[in-house]
Order: sequence, then C-alpha cells, then structure tokens
Amino acid sequence: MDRLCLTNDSTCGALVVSGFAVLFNVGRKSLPLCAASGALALAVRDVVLQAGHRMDAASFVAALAVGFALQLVPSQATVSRGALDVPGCIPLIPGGFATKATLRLFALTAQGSDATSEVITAAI
Amino acid sequence: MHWVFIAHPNHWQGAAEVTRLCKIGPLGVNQRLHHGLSLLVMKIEGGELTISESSQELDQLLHLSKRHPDWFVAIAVGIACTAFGRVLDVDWRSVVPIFLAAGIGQMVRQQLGLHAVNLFMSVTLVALLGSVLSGLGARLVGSQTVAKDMVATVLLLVPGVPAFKAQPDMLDGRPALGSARAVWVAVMVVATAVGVWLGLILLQEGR
Repeated sequence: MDRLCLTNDSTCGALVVSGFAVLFNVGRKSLPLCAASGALALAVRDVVLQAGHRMDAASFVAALAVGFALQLVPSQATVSRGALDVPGCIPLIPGGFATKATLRLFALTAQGSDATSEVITAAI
Repeated sequence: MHWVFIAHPNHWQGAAEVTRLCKIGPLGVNQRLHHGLSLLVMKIEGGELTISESSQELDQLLHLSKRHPDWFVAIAVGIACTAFGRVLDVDWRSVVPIFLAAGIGQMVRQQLGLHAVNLFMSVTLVALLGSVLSGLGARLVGSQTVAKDMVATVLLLVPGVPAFKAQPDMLDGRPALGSARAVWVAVMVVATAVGVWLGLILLQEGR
C-alpha cells in the first residue's frame, strides 16, 4: 500500500471538505468533523483503489464508510448529520473528471472529426 | 431573481392548504439555515409553536444563520481548490497560483451574484478568469502541470451538492426535482468547461 499517497489524499480530503464546508455555511464548530469525514472518504477510496477495484466501486465504498461513521456522531442541536455527510462526500464527486471529459468533447468537435462512440470514449 | 412556491397544510384553521409564491434572492447552499429550518419544521409539525412564535423563531433563525465573511470564504475556497489540485496530482509549484486564482474567482463570483448576472454566464466568466489567472501564475513559477492547474482552479464551480442530491431525490420519489437538478448540474459543468476551454485557447495551452 502506498502510504505516502494515502497520507497526501486523506490530508487533502480534509482540506477540501473543510474549505467547501465554509462555502456551504457549515458552522465553525462542525468544521473538524467535516474535515474528518473528508479524510475518511479519500482514505477509504484510496485503499479500495489500491486493492485493485474500479473508481466507481471505490467511491461507493467510501461514501458508505462516511455514512456509517457519521451514525456514530451524536446528534446535537448545532451539528446535523446532513451537514456532515454531504460535504464529506464532495471529494468523491468527479468534478475534475467531468470538466476534463467535456473539454475533450469540445476538442473533438473543434477538430471536426467524425466522432464515433469509440472515438468519444477514447477521448474521455 | 428566483421564485419559490411554499405549500403547507394549514393546521391552525383546519383548511386544506396554503400556497404562497414569493421572490427570493440568489440560491446557494446554506447548511446552518437548512439544519435550523429542519428543526423548526419538526417543532411546528409537533404543534409546539403558535403562529407568532413560529414567525419569531424564523426571524431569529435567519439572524443566527448568517454566512461566513467573504474573505474567510475566499480563503477557504482557495485552500479547497488547492487541495483538490493535489489530489489531481498537480505539482507543488502550482499551489500558490491555484490558491490565489480560486480565491479571486470566488470573490468575483460573489460580486456577479450580487449584481444578478445570469448564473451560467457568471460561471463561464469565473471559469475563464480563474483558469487564465492560474495558468499565467503556473507558467510564472515554472509548473509542469499548467492544464491541470487550470482545471483544479475551477472546481469551486462544480455543483457538488445538487449533483449529490439529484439521485436521492429520484430514489425518494421526486423524479421531476431529481431530473431538474441533474440537468442543471450538466449545464453548469458545460458552462465551466466553456470558460476553461476559452482560457486554454487564450493561453495556447495543450488540451
């Protein structure tokens, strides 16, 4: 197992989720929990990916892990599980992939190629 | 400006339903308000509050769930996009350009929203600005991953929450809402990609 990659991704996952949680107006007291859920999400996804599974399966298992872990958090008036699970799963949404895939499709169109489904798949 | 329909059973007067139509400002994700409203709705459903008490609680809730300061949000978004970039394997040199470009992009997005600029136009403009700024910055510091840096900068525009919520909506028996969210997400991604694409052309960066 690549521990350096795991450490990098889980740290970045914590930062990503904390940052976006501020954008989503999550309370400051809840930010450490958001960070923990992001770190857990990317750590689990990395472990499953390194075990040789596909990205979709890894993301599913990671989201499931976040959901289960949040059930352990006691429900308080200031922190809701709903405010934690959605930001926690944000790093699992393939936004970068979607943007890059759309850019590749633009590039195909710009080249004026006769894009068959195989060509589009290859471009993505 | 958006319109919202509010429909709820009128428990107090025993009538069927009250439906209201009112104007609201720009929509955004506000988890504190969402959580507070959920608790308030449960109280009202349980018959714990009168109409005037509900109204008071609602006013108090709006006061208590104010957004974080703009500068704090811009810094947080900058950190988030930079960290996302590291997950996408951008090099260490590009960390500062991505942070600055994403922070500036967030501030510009906020201003465009306040001036009621069309949302999709605003997203394209912010994606163009953010990607060009990060691309130029990344070139300046000698980054080897300029194209990736430009994509990482615009990840603040990816509508993660609606993308996440679209599927539960459909599974919960609200296919119209779920489909609307999914289509909205798709258009947002295309608007973002158009901005980055224009940025790549401007900087003549390999796609």
